[in-house]
Amino acid sequence: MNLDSDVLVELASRYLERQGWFLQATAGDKGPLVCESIEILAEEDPALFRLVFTKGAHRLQLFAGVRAPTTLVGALRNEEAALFGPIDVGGDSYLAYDALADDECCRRILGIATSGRENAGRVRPVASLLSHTSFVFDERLFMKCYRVLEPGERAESTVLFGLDTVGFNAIISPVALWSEGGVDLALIREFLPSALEGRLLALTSLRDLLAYVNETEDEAGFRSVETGGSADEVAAAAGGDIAFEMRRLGQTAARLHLALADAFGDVALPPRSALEPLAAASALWSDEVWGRAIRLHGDFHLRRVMRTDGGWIISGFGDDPMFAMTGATGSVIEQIGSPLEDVADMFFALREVANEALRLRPSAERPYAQPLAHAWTRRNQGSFLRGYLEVDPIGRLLPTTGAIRDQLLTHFVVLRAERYELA
Amino acid sequence: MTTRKPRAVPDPESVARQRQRSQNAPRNSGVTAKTVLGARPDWFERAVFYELLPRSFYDSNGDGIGDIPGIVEKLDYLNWLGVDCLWLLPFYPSPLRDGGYDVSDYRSVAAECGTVEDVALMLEEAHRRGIRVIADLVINHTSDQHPWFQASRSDPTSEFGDFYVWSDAPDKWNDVRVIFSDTEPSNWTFDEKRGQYYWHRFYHHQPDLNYESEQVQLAMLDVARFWLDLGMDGFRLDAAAYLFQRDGYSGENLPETHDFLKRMRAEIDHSYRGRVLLAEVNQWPADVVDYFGGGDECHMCFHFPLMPRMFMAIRREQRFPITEILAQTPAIPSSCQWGIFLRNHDELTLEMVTEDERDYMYAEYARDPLMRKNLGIRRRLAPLVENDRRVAELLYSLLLSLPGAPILYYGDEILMGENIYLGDRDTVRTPMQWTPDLNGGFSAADFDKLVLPSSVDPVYGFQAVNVKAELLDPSSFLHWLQRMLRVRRQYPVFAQGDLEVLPANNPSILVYLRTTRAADDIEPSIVLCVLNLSRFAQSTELSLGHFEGLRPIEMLGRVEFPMISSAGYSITIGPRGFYWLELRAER
Repeated sequence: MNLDSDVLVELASRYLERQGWFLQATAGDKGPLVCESIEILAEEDPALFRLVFTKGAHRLQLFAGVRAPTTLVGALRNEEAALFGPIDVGGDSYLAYDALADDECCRRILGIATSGRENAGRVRPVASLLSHTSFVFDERLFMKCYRVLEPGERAESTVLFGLDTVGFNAIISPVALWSEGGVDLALIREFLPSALEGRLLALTSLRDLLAYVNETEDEAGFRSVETGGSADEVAAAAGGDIAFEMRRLGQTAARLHLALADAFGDVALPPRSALEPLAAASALWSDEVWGRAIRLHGDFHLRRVMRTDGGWIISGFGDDPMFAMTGATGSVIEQIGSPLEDVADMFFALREVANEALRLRPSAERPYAQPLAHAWTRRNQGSFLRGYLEVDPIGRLLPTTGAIRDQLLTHFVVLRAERYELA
Repeated sequence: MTTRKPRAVPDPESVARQRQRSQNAPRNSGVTAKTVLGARPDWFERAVFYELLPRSFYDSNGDGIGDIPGIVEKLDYLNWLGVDCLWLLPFYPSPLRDGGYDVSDYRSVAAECGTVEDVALMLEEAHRRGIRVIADLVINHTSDQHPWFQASRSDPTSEFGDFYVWSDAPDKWNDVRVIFSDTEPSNWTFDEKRGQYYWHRFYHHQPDLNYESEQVQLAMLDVARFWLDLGMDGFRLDAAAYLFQRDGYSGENLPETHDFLKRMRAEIDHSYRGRVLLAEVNQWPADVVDYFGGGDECHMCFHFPLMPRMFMAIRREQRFPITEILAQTPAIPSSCQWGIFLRNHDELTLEMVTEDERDYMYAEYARDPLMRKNLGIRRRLAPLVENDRRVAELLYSLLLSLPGAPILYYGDEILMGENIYLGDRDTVRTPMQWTPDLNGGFSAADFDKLVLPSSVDPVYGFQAVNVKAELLDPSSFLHWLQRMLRVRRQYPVFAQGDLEVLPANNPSILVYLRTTRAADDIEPSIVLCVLNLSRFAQSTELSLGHFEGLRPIEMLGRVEFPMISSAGYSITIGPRGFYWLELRAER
């Protein structure tokens, strides 16, 4: 395609500078925006280009499409916002635009990223986040095109492919990784349409339980838990109880930790300042009693676990995290630590979702509903841990005694409460 | 996604072998039903079945026991309801120590139930109304009172000596599970007369037949021919998975068992085309599909694991119990069909669930230990759902729209209750409640003479719940169900279409598509089923972009819904509500 690449770069630069994600990703970086490279991915209409920009320490990826105006009509989603502007091609006026708004270009990127192994018909955009844009193809493949390029392989692809290699199947299987010079450009994995966030399952369970206080023959007031026994008994008897789902999730989490240890190794839990108060209180304990340190999920909560028709799967190895320690570009920093840290994440998440459900109740009900929400949290934390500990040989990664394990877990839970509540 | 495999071609050699045997076999030379329903051999795929106990359905002669002529008297009612096929529980002579599943004579009718001639007349009358009839055939075992067993225990050298499975010591196959674990300590029982142990998978008074014996196989094929010659439209094969045993195996699903069932099927295909074999195989779907063979074994099999999961999903208010088991259900041959049900004459079986799930089901549906039996719950539909009509409707909407032939259990169409104070599974076998009059209109006999006491429960008893009252009330559950069956009949897609579960971002909402293609032998159609499993109103947004431009029509009221666009399709649905939406192109 005979076009002036400088014009395309100029148009693309101006487009980039209008994008919220770009401004957020490069906030505070005063360096100039420079086009580092431009690569022609396809020449026929629509033509497809991959541009890499740098701005200070940041590297950014942008896909550009170029079409004749006659073929552009109806080809773009969100047409106005996606257009870069007119560009001369061999004396004719064409239009340049963000190629990720064009289904045809998305299909081409999928083909390139999978070395031609995959092609698709229907394209559905899913999310447009700071670090990436994502699409679903034919409701079976999910592609994440990175906007912000990170030096080296991303934690997400490292972990996904690492787990896949050791045969851990409670993840969404990776299909292909498109990388260049060790830098990840796009990740393609399976798409599971039936997958549902664990949080939604938990809220459904809580909705059923908390309705208890409002299901009374006494029109005047609310039903206190004493009517049906203790809060724990009421929670255990609720139709929407998901304790055994949590047990299965606990089992899946334990298998994940064993697989992470398998794939990335394990070491003696390193002494950390965070553990010092405990260590001081237990001066007689040797280093060995604390268990092993492994590569963690690091952001393990109810939005990161998905219930599918085949059981639980774990996702979010590097999505834009909500709670985890994050790097400057929004990706998860590799975390090494006791597997109980992930367990503590889930304990905290169960407590948080119960609070979320409580907030949905009218304020007058809350004093009656609160003991039930707490009982729900206790019950499901217990089930999760029970399932977790059932998996053999998870014990080899954990503290050598139950007492130390419980103490360490409590310690991590308290740390999370302090961290998030102070935040 | 459930799809169907291409039809299998029958093995010509096996057909020829069967033809020879069939010509040599003794036939029922007496009465037969004159009308045999012809037309489609795949009738069973579209049929709605109705399971009934002859002894508890209607007593025509006032002796307190339901009978075959009593069924004839109620055929018009069943026809009105929209039933296509009756499934009769055993009516053979029996000491009745297991509800008639302990047969003492396969070629006769228990005196209290009628005669073989009565059965022929019933078949004739049913066929005249377009209703088919299948009978329970207890192939795995007999009563210990059966002459075969009496001869076998008396004389090991007689022609019946090896009709049963005998052993000098009870030390074989000890890993095989005991099914009736509440009452039977072992699968072996010692017989004093023969001085040996005999094998039984069920009660000790139900010795298993020895299918290693060719004579046993021939005898059972003869029994089948006897009833098929009379005009019976097929059999529900009781305990079909247990026919053979072998060292190192669980005693279930052995290849030899499949061989025998294929032998029976070949006989049907050769001489009784259009008749059906429905296998009772309480196993996981992956094992059950073997009973379809390549379309050359059983025409139908029950889908046992689906049933408890429908109840589980309703109480948990989320869809995964159902979608999980549907995802585990393999494709079946195109000439076969699942039999699906909510309740039946047995306990609500919990064999095909995990231990956690079983505990949950007991806690939610059988808090009183009297409600439990073996590994299950001996209760009827209405009390299970606490007489909540909306839940009952939701469950039926599932039953009538999921892949399979729905099997209704007598009395559940009027939401009858159970009597948990009766023994064994008689809790769910009490007399049908026809009227608010004496004995619920079931029998003119004195109450004390009834086969089982009619329910006088204040909520579920015959004074409150009966066919007559529900017929008089146009908004009754009975009328609702009759309308649902009518709608279902108009859309073969429910019976023979493919299934695709669609994602919904609300766990309480279950969404699936039933579709038929133009190439199928039925009008192409697309039906979208949306169910709210929660007792609270719910909403969700569906991704239906590939149906852009189609308009959903609610199928009960023919109400037009907003047209589908490329954007998400929002649906709001009331508590325990459901929609059957036909997706149609605008004319």
